[in-house]
Amino acid sequence: MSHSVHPAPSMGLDNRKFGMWAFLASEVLFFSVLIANFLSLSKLDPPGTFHGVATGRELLNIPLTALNTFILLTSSFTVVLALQAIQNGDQFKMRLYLLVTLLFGSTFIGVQIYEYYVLIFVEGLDMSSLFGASFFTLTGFHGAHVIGGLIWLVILLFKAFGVMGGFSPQENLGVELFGLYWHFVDIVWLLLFSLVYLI
Amino acid sequence: MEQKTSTHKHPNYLAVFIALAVITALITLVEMFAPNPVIPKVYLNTFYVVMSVLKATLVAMFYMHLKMDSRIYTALFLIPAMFALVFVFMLAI
Repeated sequence: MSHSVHPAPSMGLDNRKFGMWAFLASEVLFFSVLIANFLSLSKLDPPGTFHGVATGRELLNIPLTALNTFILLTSSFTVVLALQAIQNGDQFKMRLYLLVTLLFGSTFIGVQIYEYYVLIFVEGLDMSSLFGASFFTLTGFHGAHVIGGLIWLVILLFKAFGVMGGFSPQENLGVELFGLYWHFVDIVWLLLFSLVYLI
Repeated sequence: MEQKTSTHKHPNYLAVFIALAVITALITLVEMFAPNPVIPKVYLNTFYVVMSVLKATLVAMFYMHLKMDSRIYTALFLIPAMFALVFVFMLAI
């Protein structure tokens, strides 16, 4: 960060952090469109679309998804612990918690891939049905956001381990900005768990 | 010019995590074991939505530090969220 130029904030706010919040605001609207799309289309399939069940939702594995929700929640917890650690000057704990976040985030994606595999190849969920199309679009875009976050996290870890500079109690905005993004992805999933899997 | 973005006063993250985990476990257990014919689905759905919004609020307030940070960030996040809520209700309900 020492070689980059950061204009003085005009509202007493850091411009980079303000930019991240503005980005997240746009993401709120992005996901609201996908959620509205799912809620309005997912129950309109004609009877007999799904094999042996009345609706596509009955094919979903609630206990597995609840476990996956817990995994993502835990990854959010480890991110705030990483931020807390570096703000307290503890480099080891910051690296450890970021690595654990990477592990939990990757596990979340692994479980989602398994869920997709079972739905498509075992349960025979028709991806071209209204439920299937809207379900995979919504959860797929969320998964893509998690994968994007994991790529960001790998880059962050390079920096945390001193490959590209490093973090300190005074300069840790990179960890905080990643945390904002990761928590937002977590919030979206908390809503999806109810709106897609339970309702 | 570097700017410290945190006062380094941290909320009890563990308590927040436990609350989130308990709520997640609660709604999962309700969904799996609630007697659906006895409890109308509309009540269950309301319960799920309220619990989800509560969890999202906890994450935003404490993990994303909106409770301690500038109110401008809160407004930046909540205003589109309100639009999103209206949008979802208009299209989906």
